[in-house]
Amino acid sequence: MSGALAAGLALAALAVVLSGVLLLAGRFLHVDEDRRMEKLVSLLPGINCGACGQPGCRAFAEALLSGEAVPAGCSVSSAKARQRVADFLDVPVGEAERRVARLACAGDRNAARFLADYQGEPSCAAAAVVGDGGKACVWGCLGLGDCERSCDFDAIEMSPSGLPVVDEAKCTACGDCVRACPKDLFSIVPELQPLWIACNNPLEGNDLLETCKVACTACERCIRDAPDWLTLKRNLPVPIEGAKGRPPRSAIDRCPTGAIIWIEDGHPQSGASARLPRVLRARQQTT
Amino acid sequence: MRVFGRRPAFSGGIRLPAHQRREAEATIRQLPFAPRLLLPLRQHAGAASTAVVRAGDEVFRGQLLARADNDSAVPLHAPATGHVLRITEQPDALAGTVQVIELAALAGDTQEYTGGESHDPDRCSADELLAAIHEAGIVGLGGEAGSTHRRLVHARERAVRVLVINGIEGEPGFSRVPAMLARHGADVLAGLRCLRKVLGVERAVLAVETPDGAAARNLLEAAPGGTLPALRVLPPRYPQGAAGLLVRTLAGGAVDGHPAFAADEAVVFSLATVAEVGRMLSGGLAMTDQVITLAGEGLREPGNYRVPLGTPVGFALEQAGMRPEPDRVLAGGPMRGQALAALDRPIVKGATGFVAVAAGETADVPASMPCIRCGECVAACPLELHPAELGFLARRDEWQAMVEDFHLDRCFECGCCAYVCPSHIPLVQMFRTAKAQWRRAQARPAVEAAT
Repeated sequence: MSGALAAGLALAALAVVLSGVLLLAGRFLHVDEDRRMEKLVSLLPGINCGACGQPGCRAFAEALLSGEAVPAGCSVSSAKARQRVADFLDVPVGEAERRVARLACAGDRNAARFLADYQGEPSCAAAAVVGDGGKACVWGCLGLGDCERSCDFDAIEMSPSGLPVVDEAKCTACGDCVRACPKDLFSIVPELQPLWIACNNPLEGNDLLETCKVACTACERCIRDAPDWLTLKRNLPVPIEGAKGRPPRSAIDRCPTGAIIWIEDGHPQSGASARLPRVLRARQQTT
Repeated sequence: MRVFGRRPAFSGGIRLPAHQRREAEATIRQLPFAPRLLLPLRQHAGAASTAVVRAGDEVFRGQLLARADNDSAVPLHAPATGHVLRITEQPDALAGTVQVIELAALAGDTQEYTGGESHDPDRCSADELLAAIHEAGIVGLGGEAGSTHRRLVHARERAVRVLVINGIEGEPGFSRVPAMLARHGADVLAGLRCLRKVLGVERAVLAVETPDGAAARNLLEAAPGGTLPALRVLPPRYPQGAAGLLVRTLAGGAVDGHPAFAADEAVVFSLATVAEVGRMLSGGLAMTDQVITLAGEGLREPGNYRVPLGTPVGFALEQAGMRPEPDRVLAGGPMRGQALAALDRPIVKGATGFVAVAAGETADVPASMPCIRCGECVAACPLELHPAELGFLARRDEWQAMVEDFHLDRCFECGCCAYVCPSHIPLVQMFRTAKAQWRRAQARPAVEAAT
C-alpha cells in the first residue's frame, strides 16, 4: 500500500516539476508571431515556387507583413487573389513588373544541324552528357522537353519541330524551367522588353551558319542600330540594364539570320532581312 | 595451411568473358598523317595552354606550339611538319570554348622528327628528368590525362615509397598492355628507371592480369639487370585497373615475400605512361603521338595504332578499315566509353582507344523494368556504394542526397551496376546525368552572383 502511495507521490512531484519547466520555457522561449500570419499564408498560392524572390510563400508572407514586399510581388496569383491579400493587409496592391521566361535558342529541327541521332534516356539532362545530344551547336536546345515537364503551370509546350514554346500569358516566372534546362537557355525577363536574342552560341563568324541557320554570328548590326539598348557580351547582343525608353523596332531589321527577334503581345517577329529567302540574302551580301 | 582464399581487397567488380591474348594484339601499326590535324589547347585534364604560333606559321615536327602557363597545363608540340592554317574557337566540354590550332601536314615531307636532346636516366639528375618530362608535355595515358609532371611533383611532396606500374587493361577488348610489353619493353624499363629516380623510390611493383602474365615475366627476365620491379599477376576482374582499387589490392598484406605497404604510400602510373616517358626521354622526343587501340566489329583491321595527336577520329578509323556506317563509335572502351556525335573530332592526348560498333554487334537492350531490389548492383559495385538507392534518388532528381548521403562523388562510372542489372536500368547513365546536374546546381549561385 505504501509502495503505491510513494509511487503516486513521486509521479505527482514529477508532474509539478515538469509543468514548471514547461511554464518557464513557455515564458522565456516564446516567439511573437503576427496573428495575421496563418490567414495570410492561406491567401497565397502555397506552391513555394520562389518567383517572388523569397524562398517560399511563408517567407513572402513575412516580407509582406514587414512591408518589404507588396502583394503584386507574387506573380503567380491572379489579380483577384492579389487584391484579396491587399484588402486583408489594408495596403495598396502595388506594382511589380510582370516577368516571363524566354528561350535563348531558335534552332529547331529545321534550322539547326544534327550530327547524330541520340537514342538514350529521353531527357535533356541525360542527352547533354552524351556527345551533347547529337546537335552540332553544343549550346543549343536539345528539344527533349525537360522544361515542359518541369512547368507546373502548363505554360511550356514542345513544338512539333522540337523547341519549347512559352505561353507568356500562363507563365508565372517561377523559374522552374530555368533550373531544368541543362544548357541554361531560359531567362526570366520583363514581359515588356521587346528585344530578345534567341541564340546562345558564343562563337562568331559566318561559319556558324553551317551548324545553325538562325545562329547569331556576332555581326553587331543590331548593336549599331540600337547602341543605347544593346551591348555585346560573349559574342551575343544583350539588352543594357536600365536603358531608358523603348528600343527602336528597326534594331532587328538588319539581322541576317533572324537571331534577334521583336516580341509584341507575346508573339516573336523576326527582322525584315531574315525573312528574305536565302538566295536573295546571298545576292544582297555580295552586292 | 590456408583454408579460405585471401579476401579480395575490394568487393564487387565483374568477371568478363575469359580472354586469351592473340599474337596480333602485341603489334603496333603506325598511322599515316592526316592532311589536317586539329589540336585543342586543352587536351589534358587541367588549364589550357597558351599558343605561341600564329596562323600561317611554318612549323616542324616537334616544335613547341603552345606553352604551359599554369601548374596543371602541359606544353603542346607540333605532331607534324606543316603550317598553321588557322586558330579557331571551338566548343569545349569544360569551359565553354577552347582555342584549336588547325595544322596542315606538309604532303610529301619525310616528317623527320627534329628532336631535342636525349636524357639518360642514369646520368641526369632527378630534377633534370622532372623538367624534361614537363617540357615533353607528357600526360597520363591510363585514361585520366592529367599532367605527369604535376603528378610526380605531388607524389614527391607526399614522400611515396612504392611506385606501382599499372599494366592492367582498363577496358575489355583493348590491347595496349601486350603491345607495350612486347614492342616497348626497353622503354618501359627506361621509364621505370627515370620515374624511380625522380621519385627517389626504391621499390616498384608491376601489376598485370593473367593473360599478360607471361609477357611481363619475359620482359623482366630478359632485362639487362638493375633493380627490377616485383611482378604481381592478378586474375582478371573488371575494374581492378582503376588506380585506387589497384593500390588497395597490391597493398593488402605481404605476398610472395614482398612486405605490405599502406595504400597512401604508393603512386600509380599506367604502363603506357611509363613506356612513353622512357621512349621520349631517351629519344629526345616530345609527346606528339601515342598508342591507342581501335577496336570493334565495325573495323576490318582492329588493333593498336600509333597515331599523331590531332588526327580526326574518322580518319584513324578509316585507316583501320572502317566498314561503312558503323552503328556508333565510342570514345573509350565498351564499358566506360561515350558515344561520339561526330567523327571529325580530334584524337587528343590521353585518349585510350575507340570502338566502332557495327550494327547488330551489340544486343538490343530491352526497355528498363522497375527495380526488383535484388541487390546485384550493390554486390557488383567495387566502391561499395548503393546503386539501387542512388537510382531511386536519381529518378526524383535528389542530387544533393545522392552526393551527400550516398557518396555519388566517389563513383567513377565503371558501369558494373548497369552491366549486371537484370531489369536493364541504365544506372550508370543516370549517375552521369545526376553528376552533371549536381555540378550545374553547385555552379548556379556563383553564376547568379556574377550576372
